[in-house]
Amino acid sequence: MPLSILLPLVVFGIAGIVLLIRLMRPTPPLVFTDEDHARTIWDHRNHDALSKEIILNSAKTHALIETASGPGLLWSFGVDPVTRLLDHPFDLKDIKTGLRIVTHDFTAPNIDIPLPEATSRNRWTAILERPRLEGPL
Amino acid sequence: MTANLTYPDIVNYAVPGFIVAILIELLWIKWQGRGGRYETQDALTSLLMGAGNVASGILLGFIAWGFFTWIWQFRLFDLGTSIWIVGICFVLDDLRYYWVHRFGHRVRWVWASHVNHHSSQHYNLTTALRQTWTGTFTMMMIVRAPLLLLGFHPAMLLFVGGLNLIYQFWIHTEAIDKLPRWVEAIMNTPSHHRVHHGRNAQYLDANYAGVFIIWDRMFGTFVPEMDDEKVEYGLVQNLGTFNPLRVAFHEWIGLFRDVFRPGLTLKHRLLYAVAPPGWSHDGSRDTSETIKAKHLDRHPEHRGQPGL
Repeated sequence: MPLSILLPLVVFGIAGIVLLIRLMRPTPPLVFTDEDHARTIWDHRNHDALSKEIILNSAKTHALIETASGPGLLWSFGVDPVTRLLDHPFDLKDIKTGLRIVTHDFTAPNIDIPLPEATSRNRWTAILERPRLEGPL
Repeated sequence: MTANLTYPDIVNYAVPGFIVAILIELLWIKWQGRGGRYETQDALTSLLMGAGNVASGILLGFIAWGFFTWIWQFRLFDLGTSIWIVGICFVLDDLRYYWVHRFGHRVRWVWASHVNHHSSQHYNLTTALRQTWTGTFTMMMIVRAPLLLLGFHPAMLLFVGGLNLIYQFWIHTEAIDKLPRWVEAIMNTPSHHRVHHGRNAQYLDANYAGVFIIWDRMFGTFVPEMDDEKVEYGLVQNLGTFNPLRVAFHEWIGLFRDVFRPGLTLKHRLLYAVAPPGWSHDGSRDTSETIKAKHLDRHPEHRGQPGL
């Protein structure tokens, strides 16, 4: 097939499909209904680092998980969950909307956590910085 | 007699069909309220990976083609171009696909290329198009050498390989449940391939087939879709990015970081490249074997089930 046909076909095909999905919104974005919901998802995916305490942000899109192996993060990634045990060095940055974890992990480089309330932000910061100050929990 | 043999580039001709089928599946899911899930960014990533795969074929295809035509000069026979030969070529090439695909899951160097196809947590027709950009670098083109030496023409091999790829498109769906028993016995189906995309311990390293599931049954890698074990799609550790560049190259970067980390023996460096995914010199990571073993520790009642 000549490129003059293939290229527009691919470009308009992708654009059309994406537009249709956007308009139809067939699956809503994932939110964690409560701590137990977050715990179920985390524990199912992290048998070697089961959850102890769980803190949800107010938007219920991110959960800070305390485990025997250190802190972990569960977050809503589109309509699905993703988890990371934060057992490698990471950087923590204040951003306008909350906190940013810079993981140095090529598969999840920056995780932005909406934390509009100062109290929540301080609490998350204290827990996330704890392992580096005191060693593993 | 086959010096100037050419076949149509059928994968490109199938592109309009792919687009129409995706639209039909999307509308079906919306209408029925079941049969799969779609998410805008995930689908966009899959489609861009598909477009990138076509582009990499255009840019790098000459390498494989050059290799095939070089091997072809050493052929033992010239099997010609009859419809029977094309049919036999299709079946044997599917066997070739089974082994390349199995290597793709059991050899990290090949997994680095194939992993992106499994990186979506969704299973719909766009997932089928989430294809590699780096297949040429795996050198798996070598596995076609026996067929070339037997006398199947390079153009015929690419043609049947394209047919194989097109067949596999429609099985990436949750909208089709199980098919009649005789179909499930012989052919790769949506049900069998859902298992292949599962991250469940039971479903890891199963159902490598392209078109005919008989290869998995023959070589002991077949696992049926179980009613009491819903398939969870994606990777053992799922990606936290929709960026196609990260999807395409993340495992290559991980592999080279491991190979060149300080303090390893030469053997360890080699094994980080070619051992099964998850292998580590200090045993700190999980392979599919350790994942299955840990699952059985938690659920001893599952011992003896297919895939465990």
